Amino acid sequence: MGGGLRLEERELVERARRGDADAYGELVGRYAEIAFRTAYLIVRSAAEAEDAAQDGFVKAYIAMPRFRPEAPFRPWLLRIVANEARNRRRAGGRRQGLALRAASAGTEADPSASPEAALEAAENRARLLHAIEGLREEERLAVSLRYFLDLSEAESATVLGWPRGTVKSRLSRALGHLRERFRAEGGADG
Amino acid sequence: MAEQRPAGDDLERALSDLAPRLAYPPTPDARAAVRARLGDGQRRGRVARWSGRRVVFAVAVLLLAAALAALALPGARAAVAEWLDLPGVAVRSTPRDPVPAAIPAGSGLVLGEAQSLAEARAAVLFRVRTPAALGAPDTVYVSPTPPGGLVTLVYKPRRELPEAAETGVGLLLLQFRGALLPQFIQKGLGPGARLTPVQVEGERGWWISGAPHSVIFQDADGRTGDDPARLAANTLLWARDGITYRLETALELAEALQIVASLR
Repeated sequence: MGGGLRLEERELVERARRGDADAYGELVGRYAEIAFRTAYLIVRSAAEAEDAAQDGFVKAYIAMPRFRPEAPFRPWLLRIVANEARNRRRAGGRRQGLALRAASAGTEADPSASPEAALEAAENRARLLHAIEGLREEERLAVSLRYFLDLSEAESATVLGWPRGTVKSRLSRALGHLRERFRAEGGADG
Repeated sequence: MAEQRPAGDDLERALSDLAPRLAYPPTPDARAAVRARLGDGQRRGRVARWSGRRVVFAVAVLLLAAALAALALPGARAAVAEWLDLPGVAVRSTPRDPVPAAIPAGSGLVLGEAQSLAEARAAVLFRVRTPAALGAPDTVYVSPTPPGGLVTLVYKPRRELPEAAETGVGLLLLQFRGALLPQFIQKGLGPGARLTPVQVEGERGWWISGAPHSVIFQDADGRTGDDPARLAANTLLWARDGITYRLETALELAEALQIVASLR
């Protein structure tokens, strides 16, 4: 993200802090996807995630006067969304797992790979995803935010409300469990 | 497994490789929905009956009494009278520490009836506005006594609405056609309470803050009483299109104005 984009976002944030709902709408548009996906990773239901993200955006708007403009906006916003998602998780209901997009020809990383190799790679991915879904909740969240949403450790700490050391240790334990599991199964390295 | 690279690298690579291949549900259009809630309409959700502490309201015109000592400005009375040119609101000075004559509890007070928002809209002669940013109110009180009616929206404390220690609620919004009201509530501003003129919805308004202030009522016969259960938190007071609004909250002015901006 270049300096120019950050400057523009700071301006939008400042206008939203002063009650410019249209400026805030612009921010919502930019963050809608990551907010929804953050909520989805936590609550595992598309309907609940939609509500959590929407309510999170509304609450963030009201709380904007309390947002320190020099702080990064994204983790602050996603923390509010994550809290909404966590509240909904307690409410229960149908929980879905993440699925993998069906591989289609030409989208594989190595187009020259044999069909067998491509199939094996797809199977390994499915097993890895299944293993992640089977992790303890905090470890699953640590891995998901770091590797699926590409949030930094500091951002994950803010979003999840954990100390940074806790993010680090849960991430490390998660990776350890995954490695063990795949070593036992004969390796995921394709 | 001699030529294996350290498992960590492979695993982390595999995880990063997995990320773009995840089939999330499609992202809903949050922008339209959020924008609509901030600018229009109601949030879906239940209107919960609030069975907490009962809050008693004196009904009708708000009368703001500014303690001249608190203002500490020469010629303040005239200035304040001009500023407080709100329908149904008159300015009266009060002693530094207002001590009202005691009168029997309940006398002169009218408890509004708790109703649904739809019933409240049908019961009063003005258009009831609600803050879209807060969703549906938890309880709605209506008093038919002032001509045209008075509606009070009550919001329970919640994350974005800290509990006002004085009233036990998250936020109150009263609205009524001020000019027609025969009774009034009088607010006594003791020392420590600040009165700040502020623009609200393009109109002149007032922000009262800094100290819990007692709500003193005076009925049409001129009797005054103090509701001991009734202290007011921060209050935003303004009028627009002939309707007087009073918003009570533990929030600060900027946040209160954000909520007002979502009134529809």
